[in-house]
Amino acid sequence: MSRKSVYIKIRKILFLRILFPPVLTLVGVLVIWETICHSFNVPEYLFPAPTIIYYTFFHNINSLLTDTAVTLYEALVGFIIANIVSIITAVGFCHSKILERSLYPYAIAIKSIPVIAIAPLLVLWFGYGIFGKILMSAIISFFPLVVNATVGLKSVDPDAIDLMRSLSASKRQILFKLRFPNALPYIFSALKISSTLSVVGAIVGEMTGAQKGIGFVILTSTYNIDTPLLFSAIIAASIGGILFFGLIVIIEQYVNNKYGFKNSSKEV
Amino acid sequence: MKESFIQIERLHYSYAQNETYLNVLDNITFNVYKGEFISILGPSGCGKTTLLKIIGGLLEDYQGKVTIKEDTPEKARINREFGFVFQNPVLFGWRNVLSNILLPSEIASGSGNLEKKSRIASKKNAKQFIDLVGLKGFEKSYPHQLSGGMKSRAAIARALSYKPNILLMDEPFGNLDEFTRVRMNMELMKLWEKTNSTILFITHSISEAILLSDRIIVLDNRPCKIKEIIEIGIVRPRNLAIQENEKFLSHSRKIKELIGLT
Repeated sequence: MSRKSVYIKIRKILFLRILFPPVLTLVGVLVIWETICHSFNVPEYLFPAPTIIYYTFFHNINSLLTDTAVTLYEALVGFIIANIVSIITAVGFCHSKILERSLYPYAIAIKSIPVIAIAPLLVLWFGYGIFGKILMSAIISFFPLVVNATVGLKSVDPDAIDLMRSLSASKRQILFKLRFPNALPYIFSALKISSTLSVVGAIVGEMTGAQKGIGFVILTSTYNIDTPLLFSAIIAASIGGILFFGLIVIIEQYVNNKYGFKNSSKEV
Repeated sequence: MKESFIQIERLHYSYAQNETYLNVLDNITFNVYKGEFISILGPSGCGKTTLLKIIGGLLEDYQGKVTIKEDTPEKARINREFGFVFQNPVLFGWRNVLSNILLPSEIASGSGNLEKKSRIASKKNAKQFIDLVGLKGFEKSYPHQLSGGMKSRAAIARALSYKPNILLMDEPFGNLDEFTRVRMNMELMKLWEKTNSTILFITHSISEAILLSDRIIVLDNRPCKIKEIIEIGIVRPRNLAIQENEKFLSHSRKIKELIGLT
């Protein structure tokens, strides 16, 4: 067998074993769903059939795209702000014991509180504009990031610190040549969590009060009992979230390949 | 007249732990001459590593006098007199072999990366040491792709790369299997002859210590003080056959008695 035909065969097996089962599940679920809706005459406002959702989705594709773009924009900006602030904070925690002792316990505590509860406050303070939503998604992505980055920066091998000291490395060199690369797997693991959380933050922010965005569509379609549109909005939001998550995974793989990390993503 | 490289006089080191003072090092006095191979032998946890860290300028709150060629250990460390090799090879997983060995020169060049000209020079220098330790062809490999012995070789190349006068080795082969360790012993001996460096070598293997050293400092446990300094006096170049040698065996017996193994 030539190398090419072996390659094709491997691809075929991969396709059959890895891609085929989940696709089959999806098709099966959709068929059953469609059949139930038709045979029991389930009302559309309660549980629309997949074909109806499909029709609605593509009928409203333009407005859905715009709204998804708005939500993703808010999520992305919030996510980036959270990244910058959390890494600066983590570096601060890593270098100042007093700062760490006085603030880090709260970072851990707030990480486990549903920050979503403060969404109405943000509307109260910043109105219906886009800023409150950006802030919401920044706040919600901040805490996992700061906790993971701090652990990553601090969990360096003491021998490695001794090595750097024996070479008379400065604090700055220890930070950039040792602590940061060491923290990368921890940071990426948090980035994956935060990328999805930031979309949640933006949607929740929009649902508390907004004029556009997927959260707004979800809210209005619920009021209008336009369930097919509601489903379409949910699907659009999911696709947006998955794309965002996928982007982070791709960047992670790139970094792993470039820096030879065998396996990354450390959970804290 | 032999030139004294390291002088240690009445060195004490202790630290507070659970409201009591823990005496780690007690009245240590010895000299190391230029080009000597000295082993420090003693039970685990007796403060050998602490002693090495003090000599290497990594621990400063000791009492007594430590001089490295008329300098304090800290100054000698900044002058890059020491090459450290730890038990754990501490290679950075995100750097390949070559770039791990370039780390010391990157750090010496200041905060940023190397300039092009000095980068080429450092690379050439690093490659020379990669060849010397027998890692040719593995420059682009990452640490997780290397075996234990190869990792030790890389760690030694990194320590040698800036041509320090003194090598401080803290059980560098402690994690290796017996076969690899013997092979690394022989290679270390050759390297030492080639580079004319002075080596301070911590170990708890008696045969390794006798095979390699000019003198062995046998330490006692808790607090750590010098039991005896043994002059080995077996002619060089040495090979594995000296392990059958009468002198070797009598040294081995004596050390076992000192440690209380008989």
